Amino acid sequence: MSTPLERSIDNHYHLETLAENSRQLVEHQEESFRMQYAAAIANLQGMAEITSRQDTTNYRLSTIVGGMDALHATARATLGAIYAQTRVLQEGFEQVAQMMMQQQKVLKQIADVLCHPYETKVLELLREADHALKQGMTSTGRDQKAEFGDATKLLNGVLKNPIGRRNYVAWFQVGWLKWKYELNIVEAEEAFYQASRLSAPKADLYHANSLKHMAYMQYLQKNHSDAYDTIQKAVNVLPDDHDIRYDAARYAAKAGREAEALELLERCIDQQPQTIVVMFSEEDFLQ
Amino acid sequence: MKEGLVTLLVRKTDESRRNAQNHVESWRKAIDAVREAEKHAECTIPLPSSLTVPVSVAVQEARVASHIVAIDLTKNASLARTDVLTFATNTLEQEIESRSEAITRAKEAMKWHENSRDMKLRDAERAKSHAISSANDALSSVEYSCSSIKMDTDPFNNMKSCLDGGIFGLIIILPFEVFALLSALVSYLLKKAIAVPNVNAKRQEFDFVARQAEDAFAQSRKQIEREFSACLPEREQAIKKAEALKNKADTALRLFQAKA
Repeated sequence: MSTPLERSIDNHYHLETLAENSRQLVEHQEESFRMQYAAAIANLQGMAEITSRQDTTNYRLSTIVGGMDALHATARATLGAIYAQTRVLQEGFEQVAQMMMQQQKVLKQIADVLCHPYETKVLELLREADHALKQGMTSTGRDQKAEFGDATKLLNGVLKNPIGRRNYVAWFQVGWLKWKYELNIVEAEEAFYQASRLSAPKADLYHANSLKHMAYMQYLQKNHSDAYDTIQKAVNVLPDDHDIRYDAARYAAKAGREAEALELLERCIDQQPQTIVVMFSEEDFLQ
Repeated sequence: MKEGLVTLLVRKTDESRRNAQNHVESWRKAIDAVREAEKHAECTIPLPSSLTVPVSVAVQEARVASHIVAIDLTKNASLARTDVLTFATNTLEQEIESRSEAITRAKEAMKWHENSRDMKLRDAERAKSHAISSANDALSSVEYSCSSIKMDTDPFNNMKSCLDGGIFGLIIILPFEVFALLSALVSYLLKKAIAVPNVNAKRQEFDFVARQAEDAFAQSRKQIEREFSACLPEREQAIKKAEALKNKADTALRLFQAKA
């Protein structure tokens, strides 16, 4: 079985916050697809070998695996050529990248609007926290630790203020830092919950992101049923979002709702054809 | 879940391959339709090789392609088909336009030919009219001269009558020989001085000239009509041919659009 790969959610907020242009995002997606592709091929080959049934499905699987293997073999040396040849992949990556750049703007707008009613002190704290968070995202090692530590302190300062406590962007950033920097999944889930609760009336992108991250925290705690319930709320906010739908398929699979998971995956494949490869790189779907 | 995933993979791959095959087939049919249109329109539609050569490869690829490659093939086939249709339609439309222009040119040539015949006929008629009117003028001037001479000759005639009448008066005075000589001289002088034109001869002359002018005109007209008629079938044929060619291109375009 393949080793677990990073999920898109692992880097989603990081990328969305820092990406300077869609080209960077396309490159990141290409790189991650390359790994997912290799894992998927390995998994499919393993499955074809293990399966001993000689029914039609199995026969066809072996032809497909053979076809993919041949494609993989010929393209291994010049993997880039695959992307040049398959416009579908390129277009898919570009589409996602553009959407993320768009979301970056939306997230910034939301944060700016939320800053509006605050006094100078809270406003300063928020600005500095945001600055420290971004600095931490772009640095490594000790610098990163220091920046993330500063960001956490500054955000805690915002949340001590009765009005600042209502700022769901601050809660989201706290959740993110708890998860990434402190590795505290339980508190991260709580922070994402607060962010989703406070953003619910506006049902904006932060609301969907909060729910998505909260579901992931629940998944990491193996609360698959809770994760499934939470992601349903995110699906309701952004019903056409591929990543949310893909996560919904994952949590449905983990919650034992196989038919629903397959239906959601099929819709994901229709939306982004590369999902047909990516889904075979995921342990969650292969158990 | 694993089996469900594999079934999904197989089903989606099958779907996308079938879709790709259908699109590649449509692309191939579009190329066939272009070849047929070439025959109907009797012209060449030089499709770029990038739109024709890859189709046979695509037919084979579509059968074994992965889901993503099959989708890519579908998109490429769809674009290529659109390009084939656009290229062929544009070429046929250009052909129709150039053939319409050929018809216009042939019709203009025909019109010019007719105009030239009419001009020649008008020239011949003008020449005839000119000849007749010149002759008529000549005749009128002769007739006028005659009437003038008639008036002018009266005094002379009187004088001659006087001379003739006065023979008896003068017979006494002049000897007969002198008188006779004088009388002869007067007659001679009168004839010489008056020189009365022959109106009838002139009228005949006029009739002759008029007949000749009519004959010449008739001959010219015959000649012009003959020349015109000689070229007419050729020119009519050219128009018909151009119209037939244009109709063929029209039909080819219609059939192509219906088929493709």
